[in-house]
Amino acid sequence: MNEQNEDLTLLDPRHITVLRIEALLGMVPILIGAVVVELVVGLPTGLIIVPALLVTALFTFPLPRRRYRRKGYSTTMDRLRYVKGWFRRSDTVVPFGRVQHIDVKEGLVERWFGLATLVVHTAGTHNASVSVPGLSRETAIDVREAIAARIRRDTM
Amino acid sequence: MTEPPLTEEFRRTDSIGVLVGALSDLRKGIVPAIAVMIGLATRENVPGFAIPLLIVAIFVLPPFTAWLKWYFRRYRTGAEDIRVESGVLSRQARSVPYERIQDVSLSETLLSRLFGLVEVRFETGAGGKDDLTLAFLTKEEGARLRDLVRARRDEAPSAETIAEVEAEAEAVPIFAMDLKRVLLSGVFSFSLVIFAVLFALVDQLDFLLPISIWDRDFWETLFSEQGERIRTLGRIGQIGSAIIAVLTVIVVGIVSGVVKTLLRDYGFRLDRTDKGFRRRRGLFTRTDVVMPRHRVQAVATDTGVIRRLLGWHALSFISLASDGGKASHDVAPFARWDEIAAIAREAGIPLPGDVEWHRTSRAYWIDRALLSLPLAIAAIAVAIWLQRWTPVAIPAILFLILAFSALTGYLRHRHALDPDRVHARAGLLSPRTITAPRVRLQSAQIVQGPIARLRGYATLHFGLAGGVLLFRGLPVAEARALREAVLQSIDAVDYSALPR
Repeated sequence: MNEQNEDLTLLDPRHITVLRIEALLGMVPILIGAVVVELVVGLPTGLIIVPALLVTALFTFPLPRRRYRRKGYSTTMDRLRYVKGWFRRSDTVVPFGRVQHIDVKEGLVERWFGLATLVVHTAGTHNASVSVPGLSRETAIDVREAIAARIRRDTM
Repeated sequence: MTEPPLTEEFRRTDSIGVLVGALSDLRKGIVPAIAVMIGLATRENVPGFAIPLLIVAIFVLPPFTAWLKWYFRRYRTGAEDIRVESGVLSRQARSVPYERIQDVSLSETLLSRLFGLVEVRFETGAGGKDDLTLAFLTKEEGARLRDLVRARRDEAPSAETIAEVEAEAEAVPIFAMDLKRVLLSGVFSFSLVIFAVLFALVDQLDFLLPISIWDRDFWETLFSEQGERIRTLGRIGQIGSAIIAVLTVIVVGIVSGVVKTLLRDYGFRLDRTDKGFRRRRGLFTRTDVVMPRHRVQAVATDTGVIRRLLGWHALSFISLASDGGKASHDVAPFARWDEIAAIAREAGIPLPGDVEWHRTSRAYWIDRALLSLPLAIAAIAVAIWLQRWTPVAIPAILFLILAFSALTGYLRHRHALDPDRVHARAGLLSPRTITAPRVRLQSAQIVQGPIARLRGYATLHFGLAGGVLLFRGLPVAEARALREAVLQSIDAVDYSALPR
């Protein structure tokens, strides 16, 4: 599997922290729910809270790093390639020549860390938009400019 | 516009647009507000802060959010693209290259019209939902943007043929169905929908009937009375009435199929015009659809077991436009193979001829069959444990069907690659095919789950505008090779350079 992925660039390392914060934020409602359920039902302390905390810890600490290591992108040969996933591995290629328009999105958490998500839109029904998260803002803008330049060059 | 416009400063949309946005939000909020007011008025001991809160929520928040949105939304026309930045907390910067803009439309709402403002929409090929809009700009600014985009686009060499004048004289249609063929095709669209309609009708009108169809007693008496009568008929009589019942259902199914097809396909004709393909059909509601040739993304054929034996096939075009709720356009619902092949050639996408069909990975279909095994065993175990013997048959049969369909999947699915096209084919006795020109594909994705990685197969999914083109269970090496081949064809032609 890996012999094909050598030319892939890893995302910005700060993406791990972003994933952690997002996972933590996502788990907050579940933690609150766990506490409420315990108080209301009157179960022995920790019966639900402890497993919920364990799951939170799992999603917050080891998993983001692992998810990060499985992600990679490349922009060689005028194609945007984005690989992700361990359990379900997906490897998507969008030729620059098929990009309709490009978004550079900065989510709230991403913004704190100077990161951005690049979203390319295609005309296809499947993969109508392909997102590459966790790029530094500068990289995202560089890639966008490269794609825009290629589109321009092609039609000159 | 002789010289290319230089990159200009970012600017905001028109400030009066805030007012329009706030007013239209207000208009949406006014009805619920009145409802809440009435609700509060009918209740006692309403807390004192409720009314001010409500007023803030309705009259202060919408203008404020409209203002925020306006303040943080900026656009700029550059040398190559239009940029729009938006978002208060999370920022989004969208870039739309001029080459991708197919059209610029200016639209007005009642409110915006009062202030002389327009909403500008830049249409790209991305299917409408992700189009870039700027609301609201002055009419002059809207017109300026439209002219700018059109000027930029016209600079680029375009493959557009200016053949607006349509030949009014009716040429010979490239495909037509006479009454006989429409009726014959109706025979094959067996439909029992009439029973559903009848049942729904009876359900609606049951207050008029002396019986209630939801009444259990009614059916019990009916069956016991009829059962008595049938029992007295003897063996031959029983078989005879069963045959008559089945025949009645078949005849009703065929007749309703014929009627449905006659209403839809009467006078079917397909013409090749300068703009594309023009299809007219229908008995009472006659539809007239023009399908531009360059919009055809792929062609699909379909048939049935008996239809195939008799040599009848159907052809449809896949495109982003929808045809009365269906994604693909029927261009020849009931035709001979050489007829549909001619239409496909006319569309520039010849059907698979003498190609080398490849099969998928055997392992994939075996795994699929095996995956349904634990479920079946569990179901059978439960049934045995409960000592109910009849229900055992149901999961067992279901499993057999699943396993059979998974195992025959190997025989049913095939694909082939032509220098300029990709073909997919599914079905053994009644194959369906999809043929897509390689350059019309938009993206390529290879997906592997854990079992797929272990067993060395993958799913290859191509982005097709308006349709689905995916290959399940390809050997990994073949999936990669197929993707690479298609990507190379795509690289050669830019989207904007595709004939339009």
